[in-house]
Amino acid sequence: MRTLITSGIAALTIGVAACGGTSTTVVPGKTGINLKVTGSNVTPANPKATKGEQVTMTITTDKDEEVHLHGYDIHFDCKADQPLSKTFTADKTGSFEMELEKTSTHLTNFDVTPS
Amino acid sequence: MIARAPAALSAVLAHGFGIRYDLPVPLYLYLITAGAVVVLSFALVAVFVKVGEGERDYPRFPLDRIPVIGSLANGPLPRLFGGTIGVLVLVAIVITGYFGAPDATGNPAEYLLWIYFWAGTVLISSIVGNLYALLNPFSAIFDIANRVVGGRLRRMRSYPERLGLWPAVAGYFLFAFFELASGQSAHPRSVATAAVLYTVYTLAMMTVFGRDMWLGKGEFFSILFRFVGAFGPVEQRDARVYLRPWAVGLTRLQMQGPDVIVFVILILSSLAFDGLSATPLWAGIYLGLGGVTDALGGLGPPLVKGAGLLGLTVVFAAVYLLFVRLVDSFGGGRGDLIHAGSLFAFTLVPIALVYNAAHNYSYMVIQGQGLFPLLADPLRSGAHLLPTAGYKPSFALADAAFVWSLQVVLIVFGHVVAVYLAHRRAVAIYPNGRAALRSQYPMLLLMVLYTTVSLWILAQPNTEAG
Repeated sequence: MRTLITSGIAALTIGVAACGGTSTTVVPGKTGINLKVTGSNVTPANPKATKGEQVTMTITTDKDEEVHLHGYDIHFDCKADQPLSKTFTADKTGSFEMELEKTSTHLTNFDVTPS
Repeated sequence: MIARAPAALSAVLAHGFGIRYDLPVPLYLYLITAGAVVVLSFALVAVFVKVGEGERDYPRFPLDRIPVIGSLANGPLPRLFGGTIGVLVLVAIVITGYFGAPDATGNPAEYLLWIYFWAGTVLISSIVGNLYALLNPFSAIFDIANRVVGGRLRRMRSYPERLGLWPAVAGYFLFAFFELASGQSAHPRSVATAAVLYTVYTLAMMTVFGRDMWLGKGEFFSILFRFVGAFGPVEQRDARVYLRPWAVGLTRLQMQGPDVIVFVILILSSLAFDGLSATPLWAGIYLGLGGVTDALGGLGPPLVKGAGLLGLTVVFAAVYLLFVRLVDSFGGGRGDLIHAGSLFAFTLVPIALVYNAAHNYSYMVIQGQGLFPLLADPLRSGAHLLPTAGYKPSFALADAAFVWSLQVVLIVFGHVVAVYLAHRRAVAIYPNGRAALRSQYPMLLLMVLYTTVSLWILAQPNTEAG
């Protein structure tokens, strides 16, 4: 029985390690994300990317706004109705807050999943 | 709908404050782990058939056998050092909370209270031992005051025994309410006010009922950390410091009573509510109650969330007592629910601790770094105290794939430990090995239930409004 437990734990550990270990083999792709901000609403909500991808994020706001992507610490100084694009590599995983900097209003979260 | 969107959003931000959240554990990992938990549980029971011996004392190693470390550990220095840090942190929380930046992420008080103290000290105490006994700023202030007046702070009245731990239960509930329901936890001024109020209250109670009496019965941090620290390997017994294996210290806690059970259940339920309040399930309930919330006006959100916290605690307690009833009748016990319920309650502590670690790990290692740049100018007054102003948090310790693995390994580990402790308890209190084993089938089911709920919460997507 003891061996059963040990092998159970070992299997679990291997399973977990295997999931984590595939990250290096994926060729990084490119992702375009277009966000439209109206007031404190953003469409589409909850944009996503995969780790390692080149992300080009374009934000269009209805008024002059500063949009802050936390974690990546990228600021979009948007003028009303003028699309603004920034390109970066999605090198950190997690769910990152995006907010209107001036009023600390939460817009949505940008999710970067492991590859 | 749009009018209520901010309410759902504040649910996302329920636990303290933050800039990066964990991604939900993926479905396949959730299923594998839940399966492993069930299989391991039954495998463990089969192993325990052969153990069949009573709850003996566990091995301990007296630290004073080691020359220098031993005398240091038994001397006054750890408490002096810990108490100084504790008082400094308390003072820092009050000063920066009142006079620092008004936003949570820019104010050190938020980091010190929610990350370094609440998440961090609980986690480290479960790994090491009761750190709060050394850090406790309230008893340190009391001791200094007492020395100033020449030891004349004698208790004014005796503590009414029938109150038991209830004042601590009430304090713990109010603290959980403040953190998770009040909507004030991310307001530095409110954090400072809470710290001042709690300090005054605790000092007053220690003066009235006596320092040690209040620390043992009414000061909920002391009681919580005694339970948490019982998991750690450092043990203080008869004024000597020992080392012991992890987790077994929980079998030494023999407190009895409905107040004890409710306190332990509150550990589980407040942690679960913290996680639950960021799930779509809670967002759905919360939005569904929108009419009630609106009708209550400004008090609506805290009252509805507070009711959620209270409701979850009642459900957890009811489920626990139902299972204890089964455990006791399967084991041939006396049918005394409070007696059996108190004895088994502490075996659930590991499940709460691993969930706390899994839930807060990346919050601590990422958001915790947010304090470093603030140290340069803690009051946002233009000061340059330390050259850390441009510090950027490193995300190296919280890669999502690593966090997932850590979370599931922790959850499985806590579950196995809890099953082991419950078995030890059962063997000690039920007449024979066979009865003890039988009593553990319902217990096992209860633990699988708790563990699966923990896992399920970790696998839920973060709530989005709209």
